[in-house]
Amino acid sequence: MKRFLLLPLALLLAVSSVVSFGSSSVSAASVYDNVLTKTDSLIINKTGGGNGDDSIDFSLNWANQRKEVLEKNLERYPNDTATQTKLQRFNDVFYNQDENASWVVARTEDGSGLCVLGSLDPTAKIVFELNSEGSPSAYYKSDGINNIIDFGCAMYWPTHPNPQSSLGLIDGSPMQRYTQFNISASLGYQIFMANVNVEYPDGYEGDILPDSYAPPVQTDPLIDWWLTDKLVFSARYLDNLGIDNTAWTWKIFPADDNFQITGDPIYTSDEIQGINMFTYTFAEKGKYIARASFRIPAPGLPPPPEVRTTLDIQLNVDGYYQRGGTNHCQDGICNVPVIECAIQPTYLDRLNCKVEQMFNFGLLNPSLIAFRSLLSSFVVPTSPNCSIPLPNVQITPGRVFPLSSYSSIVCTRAEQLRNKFPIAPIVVNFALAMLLLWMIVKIINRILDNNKHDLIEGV
Amino acid sequence: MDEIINIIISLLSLPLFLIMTPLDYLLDKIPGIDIIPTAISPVAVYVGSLPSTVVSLFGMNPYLWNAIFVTFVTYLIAVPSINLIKKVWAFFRP
Repeated sequence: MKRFLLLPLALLLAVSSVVSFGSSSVSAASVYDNVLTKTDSLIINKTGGGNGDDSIDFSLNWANQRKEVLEKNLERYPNDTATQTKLQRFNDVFYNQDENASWVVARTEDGSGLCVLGSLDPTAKIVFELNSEGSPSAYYKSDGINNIIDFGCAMYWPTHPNPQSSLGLIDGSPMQRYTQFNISASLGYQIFMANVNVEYPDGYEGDILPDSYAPPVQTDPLIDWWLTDKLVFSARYLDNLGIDNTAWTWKIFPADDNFQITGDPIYTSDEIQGINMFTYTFAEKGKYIARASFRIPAPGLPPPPEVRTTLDIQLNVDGYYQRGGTNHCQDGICNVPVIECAIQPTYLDRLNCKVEQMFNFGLLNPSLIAFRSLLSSFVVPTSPNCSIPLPNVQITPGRVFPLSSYSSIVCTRAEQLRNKFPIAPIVVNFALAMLLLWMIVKIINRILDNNKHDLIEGV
Repeated sequence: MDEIINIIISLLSLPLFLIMTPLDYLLDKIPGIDIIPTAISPVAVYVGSLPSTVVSLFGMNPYLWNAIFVTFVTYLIAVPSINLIKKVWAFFRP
């Protein structure tokens, strides 16, 4: 019986010794191996603790966000020299490409705080040392005194109507400077990026700190857009960059057949913060450019690359359903998507679309298609637009007769006239009603007239 | 309203498309012929913007305008069609 008990015990002993040997073989080669912890993203939670839905990813725009906070501070305290200096130093470190600049960006372990440290001292570095209590630690320090600048560390998410802007808001506080700053994991810091010389100790096998951030997503916002048969253009932002961090302005430009902009924008939206849908109804068919200007967070530093801030969407507003997306874009230009008959809303539209695609060659059928389109446009929308399409006339080089401006004048005068003589539209509409009645009677008479058999009669 | 117009125009144009297709096959062989319909489109777009402007300028009721246009297009189709039916009926009736 004892033999049976000894055998499993021996096996257990053997296994545990193997496990302990294995673990000792991968254990820290340096006492500093666990001093630093890195994080792949700067997701900050509103409430702290875990990466819940109520969070914002600052990975792409931590610099802009912090700059915005400092600028807002300056707006509130314009005469505060500490705030002025802080903003100046921040710009020196992050935006003026000072060759001596270095920085460390971290978040707090519970995800509730964002920490930005910087220095203009060329001797700044991260070193591994034992602290006063003899525990292994990592310090961001320089040879000089008080050269590590705290641009807002451990700033917790406050209860605020606009928490994004208030994150890290320091109301006129003096600039905190340190000779060395302990960035150890034991103090709750997770390093996101360290653009500074790091002196790793011999045999160090812990986390290597990244000096840049490769965004996991493209820097262009992802957009889907549609054009409907009612000439309604809708664009939806797919929130790949964090909706709260993106501000939009939309402009609609007239364009020629080659999608070259031919004039001033016919519509300019206000800057819209964080909205994910834009809709515009065109007054008439034609070719247009819908320019989406977006203020997206700057990608990770360094260096701040050129970031495209506009997308030009080519629109062929011809009364057909069209659907496009950022996959149609290249270098900020989004081409007219191929018309897909399958997405047309009704069977008739799909059939028309197919027929037109089949017959759109040669001369006669394409002309007929254009004529069909013309006939369709005789049906006016319920809110008709007054837009007389008058182009400007160039008299001599450099001198243009602004004929287009007369369009709006005529429309305005007509409206004034109608308001002055409200009987006029009534008379016009009465005449139209009588004309309609007359046409209906005429048709019925023709149909009921047995003597008329000519095929082309009345055409 | 524009659905009605679309249906009427589709009914009208489909036979024309079929009739003109053989001719278009021949015309398509002429290099650069596609410039002509391409040139027609902007004119059609320009003219097509006028009805809306006229309705707006004169304060017309858009429903009335559309009704007149639909009636007119219907008239173009209905009268010849009914006359054709009548002719066929007159031919076969005892």
